[in-house]
Amino acid sequence: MLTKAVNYYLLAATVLALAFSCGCANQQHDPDNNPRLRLNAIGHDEKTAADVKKEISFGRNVAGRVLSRYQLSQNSPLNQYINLIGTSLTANAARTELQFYFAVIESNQVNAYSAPGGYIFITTGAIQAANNEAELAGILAHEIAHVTERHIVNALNIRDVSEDSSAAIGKMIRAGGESARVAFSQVVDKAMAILFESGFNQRDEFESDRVGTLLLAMAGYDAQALKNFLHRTHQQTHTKHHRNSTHPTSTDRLAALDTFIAEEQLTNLDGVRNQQRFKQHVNQ
Amino acid sequence: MLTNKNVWTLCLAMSTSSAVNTSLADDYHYVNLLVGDRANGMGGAYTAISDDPAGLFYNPAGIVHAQGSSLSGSMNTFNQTTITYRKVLGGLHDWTRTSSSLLPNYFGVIQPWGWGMIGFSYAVPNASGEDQDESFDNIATGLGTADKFIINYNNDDKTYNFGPSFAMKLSDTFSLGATLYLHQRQQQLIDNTLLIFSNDRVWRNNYIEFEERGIKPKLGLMWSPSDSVSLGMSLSKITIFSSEITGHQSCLGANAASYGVNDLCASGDVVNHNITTIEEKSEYPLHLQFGSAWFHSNALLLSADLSYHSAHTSNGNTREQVINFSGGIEYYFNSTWALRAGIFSDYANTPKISSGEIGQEEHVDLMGLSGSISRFTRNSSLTIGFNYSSGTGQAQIISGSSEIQEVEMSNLGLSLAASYLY
Repeated sequence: MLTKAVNYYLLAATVLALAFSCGCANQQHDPDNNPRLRLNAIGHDEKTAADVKKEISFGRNVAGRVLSRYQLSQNSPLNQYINLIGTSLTANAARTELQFYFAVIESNQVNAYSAPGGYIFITTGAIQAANNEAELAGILAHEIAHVTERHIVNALNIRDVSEDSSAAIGKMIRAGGESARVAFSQVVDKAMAILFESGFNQRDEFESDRVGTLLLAMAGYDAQALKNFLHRTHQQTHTKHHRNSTHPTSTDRLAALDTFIAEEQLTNLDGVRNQQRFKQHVNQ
Repeated sequence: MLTNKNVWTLCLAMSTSSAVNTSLADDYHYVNLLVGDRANGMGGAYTAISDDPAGLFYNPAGIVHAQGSSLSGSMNTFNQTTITYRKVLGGLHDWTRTSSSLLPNYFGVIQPWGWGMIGFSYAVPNASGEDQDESFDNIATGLGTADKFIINYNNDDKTYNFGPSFAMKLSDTFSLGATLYLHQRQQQLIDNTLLIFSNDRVWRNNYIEFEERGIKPKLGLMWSPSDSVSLGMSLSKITIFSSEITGHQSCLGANAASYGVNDLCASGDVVNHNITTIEEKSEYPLHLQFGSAWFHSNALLLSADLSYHSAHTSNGNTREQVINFSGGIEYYFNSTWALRAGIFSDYANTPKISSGEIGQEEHVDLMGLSGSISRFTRNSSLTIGFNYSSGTGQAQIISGSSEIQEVEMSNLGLSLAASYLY
């Protein structure tokens, strides 16, 4: 047994450690820096083919839930038109491993939704609110960006559950295997909550605006079409159209897009708007 | 709480025959099993960390900092305690009792819910399966010198905590959490002794069953005044709402004239049996934990805890205030392997043994070391860990005797833990 004196010494050392920590407390708090993120969590961030497969599977479940809320438009020419625009945009998207699907859903709300894995939905209300094909492409490009930048995937930590030996032992040790299935269903619920209730966080929205604008420009569309659409629908929020909370309209967002377009020197690009083709497919 | 004195009170109520004190080591210390994969490796210095399912046990406020959407963790522990009492039975013999158990001692799951995080956990903070199976020759007793003294002793004692938790952020730097554990303790004790004389014998058997239920609310607070520092505090106290101790004693006594008329063992060739029930509720101390953690980098973490248990009296047993300390370090060699080490104290809550008195409970202060190594995959981790504590002290293992024995005690725990990220 250590002597009592040694014990008191160790006790004093502990108190000093506490005091030392208190002394470090004068640093500024930075909410963007998470000190609790351990090295193991950082080191395993690379995405694998199995992760993509999991993302697609997850996105398919979310897409099914979306279609249980809204009726799919039976307007085949309109759906084909949307797919034509969407496919031209995804040709330049960063994630070539994904097959994107585009569909029109019946709703007067001005909105669009994206599920992980490449499932993009746009409401008839949003199509009606666009002035030309470039704006319609801007809406789709914004949603494509949510997918390419993995906003839901990262927010909900969607990834493959590797069945290596330690994971298998881990499953045996913990109670029950059914919990994984339940958890999957709960995560789908959370994705629905992001799409229909809480919305993406502002950082993700800004990023989608930027990436979407680049996709527009690379596809040859008017690079300012998304900004123009946002600007107009923002002004109409209290008049003609109702927009739900998933796309928070704000002057900050428009200002950020203005800055981005200027910085990327996209202002003077001569992008197309395809007004004529838009009017051929969309009855306003 | 079925303590040394409770058991002996039961024995006295049923018989005046000489007996041994039942030593229930769990009652004398507060750090009996370390819970949680990381916490175990860091000596239990986890109050200011608590950002995984083990946080439900140490400081529920910490779970708001958990990574990932849903997380579960479990732990299985093999624990062995050895207590050796020196110079028992007239100073001629050493007694050794060992306790071993292999049990799942923790499971916890957390996930986001509304404004905060919810969780559910199951913990076994105390468990022992004490055994003694020894025989001694030529033992002097009050009935004369026994040719043989045989003792078979078994004490199975476990405490279970299970219940829900909720935690939420009060601000960017403060979080608050609470766990409401149901507390259940179950104990079965068998103490079987046989004294064989040249033309006589005394066989005595005590069977004691103890069960208590209560609640153990735990309130936690965490403050992260900077990116690299976290301070934590938790407060808990067990309140018992039902308790029952039932004692059965059987005795086939000797024909010796020294027994009293009403003594259970003055039975001659007849086995006497007696049942006694006590419903007195145990008192538990107020438990305060303070912790600090320094997140030096994503690879290095240091922590220190102080744990205070208040002085109290439970069923006539004096429990002194105890301040234990612990310190831990966690280091990630890379994203796949992490190593932890810790030190901790486990001081006795009993008064020091004084000479010239009888019926004193053993007093052994313990110091411990712990360590663990983890291997991470993308969604899971496996951890193998150990903790070892040892110490020396004094006891009065023979009831009614003022004889004091030196005691050596050691405790070794080996654990296998897993955590899983959904």
